[in-house]
Amino acid sequence: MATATTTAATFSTAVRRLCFQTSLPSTSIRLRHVTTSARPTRLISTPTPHRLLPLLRLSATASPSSTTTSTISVGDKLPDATLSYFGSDGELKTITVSDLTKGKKTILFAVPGAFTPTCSQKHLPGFVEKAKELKAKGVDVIACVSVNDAFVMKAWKEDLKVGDEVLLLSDGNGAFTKALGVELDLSDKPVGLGVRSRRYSLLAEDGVVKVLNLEEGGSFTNSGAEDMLKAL
Amino acid sequence: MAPIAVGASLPEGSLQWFDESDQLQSVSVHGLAKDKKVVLVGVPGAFTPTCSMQHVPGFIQSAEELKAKGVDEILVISVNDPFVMKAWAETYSENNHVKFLADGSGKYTEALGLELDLSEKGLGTRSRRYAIFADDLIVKVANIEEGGAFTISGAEDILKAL
Repeated sequence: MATATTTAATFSTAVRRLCFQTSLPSTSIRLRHVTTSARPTRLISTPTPHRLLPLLRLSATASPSSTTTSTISVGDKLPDATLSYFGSDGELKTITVSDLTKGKKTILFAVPGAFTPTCSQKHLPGFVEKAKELKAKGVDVIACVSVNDAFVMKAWKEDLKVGDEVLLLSDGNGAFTKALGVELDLSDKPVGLGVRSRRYSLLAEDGVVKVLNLEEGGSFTNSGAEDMLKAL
Repeated sequence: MAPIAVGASLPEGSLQWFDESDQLQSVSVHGLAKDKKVVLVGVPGAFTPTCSMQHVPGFIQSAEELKAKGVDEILVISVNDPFVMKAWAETYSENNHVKFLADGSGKYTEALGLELDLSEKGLGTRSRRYAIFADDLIVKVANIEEGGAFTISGAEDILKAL
């Protein structure tokens, strides 16, 4: 999260500088600084020029020490959320995290983006391949989550010829990802990916996280199917 | 930003795409459109039904005709990331001329004044459907739909107007 820290610091400096501009009307902006302080800092400041507004959003969502949503960890109960997908009948459907996990052994894994190289070529196919083995070890549901819309997830599923062994679910507005505290801010990258999810895989039993393999960003080291198999 | 209209100049902006060697490229709209005749086709989302099955195919099929009428570039623009645009473009194996460009952050769509809020459908802010013809950056034809409807923004309508 070094990138978020540096950017947040740069942004903070920029906003502080703006506080001394008296030609603009005043406005109040609440910030979360990258510190260990539990109190969010309020600055009465002049509004930022339009070009800095994306940085404001960056700080609000990507602060590693944000006190509103800490990152999910082993032993936590998964927050509830609604994810969407297209059923085999072509109808848009929704499913809650509760439906996916209540009374079940569920593997959830997330990718930063559908159709992106590592996701498509290694992470998802790995789970598709090992699905039978995982289910033989008592896993009831395997689902892939991404901050992409349901149309894109459907197209990706068809492109990789994934059947029912792994559900591909859309966290279209990123609400579930945010609730887990695993956002990955790629807004400052030229690819125009916005806020996505860090790569992870987790095993939940009746909604409680038992195994969590959370990557830094989009790297792919311990969040694969093999690692999950070993953990079971 | 008010929606772009006939007579206005296309704003500058950059769009992304993956080229033939899979390299991420950033293109400037002015670079593509200055001194040229271009058609910009805006869609609410890659892989969505109307876009995929009606709007875009129309332009792919009419590409030769549009070129014969002097159009240099046909650009499909969507608020999707370039990975998704590339995958979507690949589903049109018969395509030879249409470029699929990503306005991942939605900035260019905003500069055109053509945003469409689809947050309720879990799609965030996207683009209205449109077909715009510009000659040396000046908009000559602007067929902009209300939202994602598909009534006047097809290839036929652009061909008629040329």
